[in-house]
Amino acid sequence: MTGQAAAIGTRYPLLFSYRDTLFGTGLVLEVQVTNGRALCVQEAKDEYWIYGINPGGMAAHGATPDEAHTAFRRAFSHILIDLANEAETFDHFQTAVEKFFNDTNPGYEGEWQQAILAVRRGDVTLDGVPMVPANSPRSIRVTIKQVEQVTPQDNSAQLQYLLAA
Amino acid sequence: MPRLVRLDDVWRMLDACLAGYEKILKPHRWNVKHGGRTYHEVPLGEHGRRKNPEIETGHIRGLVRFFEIPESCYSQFLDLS
Repeated sequence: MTGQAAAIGTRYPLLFSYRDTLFGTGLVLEVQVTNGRALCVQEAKDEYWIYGINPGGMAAHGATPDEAHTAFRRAFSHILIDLANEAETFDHFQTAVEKFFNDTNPGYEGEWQQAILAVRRGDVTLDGVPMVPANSPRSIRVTIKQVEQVTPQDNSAQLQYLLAA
Repeated sequence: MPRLVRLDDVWRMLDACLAGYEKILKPHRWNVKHGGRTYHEVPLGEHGRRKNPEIETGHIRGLVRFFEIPESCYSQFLDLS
């Protein structure tokens, strides 16, 4: 990826879509988020941080953008597990997850918007990471999954992230 | 290797800069709550919960921006540059 040779301070606006399957008390739960927003920043040599914009209350790091994203993805899932452990009912869980996802980090939102402009100018790219419109609709869906609906596909973590432009 | 800050310095900063915040210990992280909002990812420190561990600075950069804590306040306690 060009980020390996990019300057420290380079910012990459990301959109990500994840699907998580969790177990509640007597329930199989599915959380599907589409076009969550995050900002990846190269803060030092071999140090990339991903700051959540939506969800805003989390961050993760790695030696490459891919590693940082893997850590971000893992942290996202762990937070959902925390929320599932705290929720007494499905409605409580749904409300907590929606609140977590929709709570914006205002301190990084402006930089995310600025980074989009850099991508549009062609100043910033990520090799192998497709670009998508930055205004792609964001959504979250929390559902109860019937056992009959569970398939082997539920074992595979969804790891998609894209460069917002 | 990410830069580190002392967790006790983070709590001292929040005491001064984010009045009324609440810290909640989770199995694998701290949550910081304030004004009905939650920052979910304050680490326990390497090897789990220890007394005054060092934690990666980026998590706290995310936190201060999430709660819009002014640099003029947090910089008295932490170097997040």
